Amino acid sequence: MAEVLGVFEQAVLVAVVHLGGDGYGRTILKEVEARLGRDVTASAVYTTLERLEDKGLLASRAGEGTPARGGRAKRHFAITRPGVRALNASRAVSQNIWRGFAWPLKGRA
Amino acid sequence: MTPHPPLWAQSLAGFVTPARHRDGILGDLLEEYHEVQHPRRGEAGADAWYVRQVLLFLWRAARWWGLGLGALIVARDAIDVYAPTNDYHLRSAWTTYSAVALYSACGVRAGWYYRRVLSGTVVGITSAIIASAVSLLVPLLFLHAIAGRPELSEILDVPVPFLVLFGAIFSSLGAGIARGGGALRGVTWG
Repeated sequence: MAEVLGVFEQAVLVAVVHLGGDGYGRTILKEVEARLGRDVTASAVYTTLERLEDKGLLASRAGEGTPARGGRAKRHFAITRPGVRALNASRAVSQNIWRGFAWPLKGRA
Repeated sequence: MTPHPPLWAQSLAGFVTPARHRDGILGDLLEEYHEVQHPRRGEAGADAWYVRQVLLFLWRAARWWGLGLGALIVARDAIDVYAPTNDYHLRSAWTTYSAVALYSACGVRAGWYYRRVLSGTVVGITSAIIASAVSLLVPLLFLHAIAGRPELSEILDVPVPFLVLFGAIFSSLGAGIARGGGALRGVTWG
């Protein structure tokens, strides 16, 4: 069974999928912020990217450097097959949890 | 002249970003600085933004070590307050050796992860600062128990410079051990 991911990990993976393999740290960070609707720190995003890569859910490759980057190469991220499976599994779990409820939930207290 | 973030912050960033993604991260920060933060906030604002990003990397690197060491010191204080003894030597030895072990492990981990011996030193010093803050602030909750017991007054006298020096030495040693292990395995260091 594929691994079920946390919300932040899902947001990062979905951002990578959305950017279609051309995403790098900065663009992924902005996409995650847009999807979560809040500011996120660079350290949180990069740590998550590294963890997902260590788990084999993401792959990365070095890109080009530019003068604005001080000549430092970009690192592009793309989702792997296990990453797709993990995202699908996480989505399925989430849908399963909400099965039988009408959205938005009405308060009963 | 091209604006650039403070050089000290750029150097510090090089010590607290993981070796594998260092170029990508430092390049991203610089790109954001030049293309968004500097035009939007001006030089001082952009510098502040950059420093904040670096400090967040530093905090992420050191927080659990610092909080762990702080908890160790606070636990020792609490034991002294609520279970007094006539001989504090054994407790002192236990606290000291535990701190040495924590700092050394912190240095090994930081040195290995960041592939720099000085990363161990930087993370160790930061951990010591966090631990000092914790061990200075938490005992304030025990003030009622400490009052009127002069033998416990040193609880409020946290030796911050000693903790920092101690942290720098043992975390550097730990990072040096990691480097030695890396050399044996043919790992490239920065």
